[in-house]
Amino acid sequence: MKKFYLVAILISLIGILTLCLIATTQKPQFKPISQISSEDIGRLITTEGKIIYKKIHPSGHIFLTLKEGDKTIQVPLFKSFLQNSIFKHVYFKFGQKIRVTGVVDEYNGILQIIPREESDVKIYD
Amino acid sequence: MIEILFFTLLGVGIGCITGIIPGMHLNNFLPILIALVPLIGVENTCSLIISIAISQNFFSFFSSTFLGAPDESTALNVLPAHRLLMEGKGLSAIFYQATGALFASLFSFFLIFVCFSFFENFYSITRPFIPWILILVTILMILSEKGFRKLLSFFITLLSATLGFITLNLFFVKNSIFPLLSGFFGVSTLLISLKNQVNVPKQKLKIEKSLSKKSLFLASLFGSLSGMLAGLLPAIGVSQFAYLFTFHNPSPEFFLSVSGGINLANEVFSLFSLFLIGNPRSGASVAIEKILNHLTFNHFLIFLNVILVSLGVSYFLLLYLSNFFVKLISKLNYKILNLLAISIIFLSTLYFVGTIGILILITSTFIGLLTNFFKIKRTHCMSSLIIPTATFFLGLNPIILKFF
Repeated sequence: MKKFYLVAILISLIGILTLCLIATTQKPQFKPISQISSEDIGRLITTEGKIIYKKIHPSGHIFLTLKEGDKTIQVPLFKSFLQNSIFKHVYFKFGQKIRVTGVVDEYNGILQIIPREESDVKIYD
Repeated sequence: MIEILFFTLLGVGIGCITGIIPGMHLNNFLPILIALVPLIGVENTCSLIISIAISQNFFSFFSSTFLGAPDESTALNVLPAHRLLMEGKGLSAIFYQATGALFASLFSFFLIFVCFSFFENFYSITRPFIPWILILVTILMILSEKGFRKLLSFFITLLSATLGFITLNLFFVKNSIFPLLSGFFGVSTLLISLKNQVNVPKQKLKIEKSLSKKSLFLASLFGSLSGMLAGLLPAIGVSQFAYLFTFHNPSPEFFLSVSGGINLANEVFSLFSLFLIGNPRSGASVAIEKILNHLTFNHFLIFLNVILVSLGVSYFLLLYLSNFFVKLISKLNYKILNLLAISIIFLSTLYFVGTIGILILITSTFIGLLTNFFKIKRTHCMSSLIIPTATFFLGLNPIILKFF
């Protein structure tokens, strides 16, 4: 029975370590805004576009809309994200090109890309 | 109207099959159902989805009771439904889960209409406390073990939380929660049953109504309240809530009535929250939100009827089929039945999640097996969802991600 414990613990740990290795080596896929669809929900994706809309929510979130061609995507920068980053709303200007890496989600039928940490957002100019 | 009734009954039939087969879940084939909209229309597709969601919940009581039964020595550490099954009371286990579910759903209608205006406020007020409530639940679960087992359950909590955190952050893997939970609670139970070469005792063909009407009423009411709370507190599982009420009445019949009630009340609450507060809280309600561009009061009335018909038909169909299945199970080779269930879970994981899913499934299965070896509650494995949810609400996920 003791061998069973050890084998089970060992396999659990090996499984966790292997998955951890896979998680750390996963690279986000680059997709232009026009190619992002609801099929990508839950996936880690990098995209880029120009800021065409900015809304500052009273509770401290910033909502950006990026446009590329005739397609748009929303980029919510939540309060928790902003608190752990250097970004302030004045950093984001209309027409500015930014590159965002984040997890694709959908809210009220609108596709969003949610950055996880500061390095997920890059301002070009 | 007849068309809607037809699709509701069809949904109950489909839910009956997907509920019985382990590893099948409505969320896995929602894209197929959404694609039916141009063929059968908006209302019919929504009715189909709602009735499958309700019926599947009822018929899942079937597989959770009759599959993966433990041997007598470990029966006390495992699920109350299996405990009754090993006493020859499988039919009673189904009856109490289904009856608790039916009444809790009916209570939910009343509670939802009374309380719905508070839901949005309640959620925004409680949101800052959610991570702390989740952490408190985890600590209470560990402390509920005796002596040295507290330390062992802490170890399992740590393993499960780490696995959950990594799994939920594998962004190229879809449906990763499926193998995670199937391993913890499904395959590990089935393997133990296989190892111990369990033979299911002859089942009594009469339901033993050992629970008083008052207790059944209370269990359904608790189930209904907890079902709503489970919708507001993400990641907390049905069993955590149900265990809370075993302090009131520790009998397995009471536990099963409460847990059956939570399952269905939570589903009904999830469907109604879309109509009442415009916030979908389950796979089915997200799909309905996608299908319906504009939700009218007429839709609301139609779907209310669909839910009521699905509840009634699923309840009686489940009790009728259970009677038939109880007679059949003693004639079937239980070992083959369990092996078949394991194979279905493995194949579903491979199809819906991919090879990484198999790795998640194997890892979570072994952690699930450890709970059995350590003789501690399997529900500690729910930390795989509770802890990552708590860290998400605390805004710690990017910080924790740096450690990986």
